[in-house]
Amino acid sequence: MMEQNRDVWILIAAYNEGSVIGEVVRELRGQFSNVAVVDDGSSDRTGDIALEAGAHVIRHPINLGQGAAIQTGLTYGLSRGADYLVTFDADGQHRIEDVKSMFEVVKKFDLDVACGSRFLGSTEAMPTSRRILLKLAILFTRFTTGVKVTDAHNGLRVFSARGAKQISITQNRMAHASEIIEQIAARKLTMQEVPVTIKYTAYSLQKGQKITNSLSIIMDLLGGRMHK
Amino acid sequence: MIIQSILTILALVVICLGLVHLGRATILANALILSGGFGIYCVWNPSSTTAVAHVLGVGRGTDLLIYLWVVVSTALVLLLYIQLRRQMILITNLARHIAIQEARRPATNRTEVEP
Repeated sequence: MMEQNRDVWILIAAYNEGSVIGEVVRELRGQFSNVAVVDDGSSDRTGDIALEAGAHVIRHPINLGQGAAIQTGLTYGLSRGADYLVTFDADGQHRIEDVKSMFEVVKKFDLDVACGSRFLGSTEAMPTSRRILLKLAILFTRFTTGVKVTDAHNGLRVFSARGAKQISITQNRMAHASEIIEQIAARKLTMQEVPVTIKYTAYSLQKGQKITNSLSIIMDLLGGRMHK
Repeated sequence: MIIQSILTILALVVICLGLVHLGRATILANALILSGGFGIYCVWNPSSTTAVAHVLGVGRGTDLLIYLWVVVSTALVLLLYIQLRRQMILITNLARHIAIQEARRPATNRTEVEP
């Protein structure tokens, strides 16, 4: 049963997600033999729970942020010989069916990367304030990268090994989502957006991005540009 | 005279700090000694900075120093920011290296082929 999708690595960045990570990993392990959780220096038992649930656990000795954790996951997956690498959120807002459909698109069109888009697909229980914030983020990303994305901050992405090797995330915190789009544009990677469904729960909303974070994301992006 | 005395003492402290560092961090030490000396000179000869200010088209010497200070401190903040970002990237790479080296694999996963 565990022989499925051996060439695929599912990568989950997790920081203090002990209450949900076990369930997310178990569900994924039913379909994918390689699941890796990057425990971003959690103070709870996230790493142990993920390991018990059947994931590889890579633990940052200090908390570095989601961007750093995703890059660690990509580096680890590539070092294990992955052909395809999937970034998946720890809070259970993504659906495994969507991974499969994105995976099919990447294989079929020989893409470097497929990004999930909740605005091409559907959302369950998304609050209006979150919708406005995300739409603004999309405008910002379109303006700064020139890429006509429909969803700038979707955590669900499927990379081919070829695509993943060309991504190097230096934005440790939340600005990595824009940075990935920037690099896709700058390195002319082939990319397609695939409709996905995001399940909004009280848990994922509480963990998600607030309007107050957008300013620090913009500062991080400007800072990153300044020193390149 | 009170403010001049206070500023002079502070400048002397800066110069002493410079003298202490002399030999270890030469650039820093020289900068401290020079800026301390320049400070004392300006405190006791305020008209000298005003003369320079007039040449540059600024009304008062004090204003000239304020403008210079804004420019210098902004540049310092930017340099520090860049330096911090570089350090963060180094720390991140180090932490990533350690994390990957110490990766834990699930006991039940026997299907995986060793690379």
